[in-house]
Amino acid sequence: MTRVLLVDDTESARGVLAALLEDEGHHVVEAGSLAEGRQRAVSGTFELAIVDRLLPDGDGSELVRELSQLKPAPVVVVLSGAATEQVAGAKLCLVKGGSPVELLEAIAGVLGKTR
Amino acid sequence: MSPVPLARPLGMTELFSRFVAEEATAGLRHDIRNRLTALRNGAFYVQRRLEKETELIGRDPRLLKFLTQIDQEAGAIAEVLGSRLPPVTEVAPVECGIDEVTAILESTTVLRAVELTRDDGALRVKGNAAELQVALFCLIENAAEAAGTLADATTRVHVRARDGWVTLEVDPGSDIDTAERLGLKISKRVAERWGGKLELSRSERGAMAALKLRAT
Repeated sequence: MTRVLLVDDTESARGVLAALLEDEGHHVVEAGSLAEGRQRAVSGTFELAIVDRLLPDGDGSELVRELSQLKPAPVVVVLSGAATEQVAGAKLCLVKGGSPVELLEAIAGVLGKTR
Repeated sequence: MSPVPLARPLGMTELFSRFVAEEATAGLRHDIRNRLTALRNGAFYVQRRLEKETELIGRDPRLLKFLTQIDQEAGAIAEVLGSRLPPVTEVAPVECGIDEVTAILESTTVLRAVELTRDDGALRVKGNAAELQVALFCLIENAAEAAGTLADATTRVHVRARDGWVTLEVDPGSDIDTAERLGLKISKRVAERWGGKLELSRSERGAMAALKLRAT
C-alpha cells in the first residue's frame, strides 16, 4: 500500500481524487493548504505526494522543493488547474481536467519507475 | 503629506487591460479545470464502484452511456481550455535595456516619491520593455497602496545585477499586502513569461518585492 499525501485546496477535486486513489489500494492523507501540507508532510513518511500549485496561502512549488529534500523523499506529482511548466523537484507536472484513466496510469508510471 | 494617486501612464492602459483580461481568463480556466477534475474523476469512480460492487451497469446500459458522456463532455471542455491564447504582445523584442524598463518611473504620471538607484553597467534583460514596464508599474502601484498615508514613505527601487539576473528591487517602506493582489499577479505572470520570477521578502523597512529578470 502506497502512502500518498494529497494537497489541494479545492475540496471536491481533492475528495474525489482521494477516493479514486484509495480505490486503487493507496492510503491517502489530505491537506487543503500549503501550511497543512507542510504539517502533514513531516507527520509521516510518504511514497507519493500530489501537490496543487495554486494554494490559498502560497505556491505549491515551495512545498515540492521541501518535499524533495526529505529523507526519504516522496515522488512528487504536480497537479495544477493552471497550465504549468516543469516544477523543480517534481517527477511529473499535469494539468487538471484530464482523463482519470490517464491520470492513474501516469501515477502508476512514476511509482513504478522508482520502485 | 498625502500620497499622490498614481495614474497609469498613457500608452500603458491598453496593454494593462490585456494583462488584466489574461489574468481573469487564467483564473477562470483554473477554476473550471478544478471542477472538471471533480466531475471526470467522480464519474469514473462511480462507474468503477458500480462495476465492482453491483450488476447495475449490466442491467441498464444507459448508466455506462451517461457516465461516459459526462467524461466525454468534460473532456471536450478541458480541450477547449487547453487551446492557447494569442500572446499579449504579438511581436516583441526578446531583450531590452533595463533603462528602457525603469524609464516608466520618469513618467510624469508616476509622481509618488520613488528613488531609483542601479548597479553600474549596460544592463540588458530578456523580455519586452513594454510588458516589463507594466510589471514594474504594478509593483510601484502596489507599493503606493501598501504605504497608504505614511507621510515619509518613499518607494526605493534598486536595480541589482548578479549571477545572471538583473533584479528590480521595489521597497515600499512598509509591508506589502500579498493577498490576491491583481498587480502582483500580473507582475509575476510577466516575469515568468520571460523566464524570470517575482519574489517577496522581508526588508529593513517592512517588505520588498523583487522582479528577477534574466540578464542577456
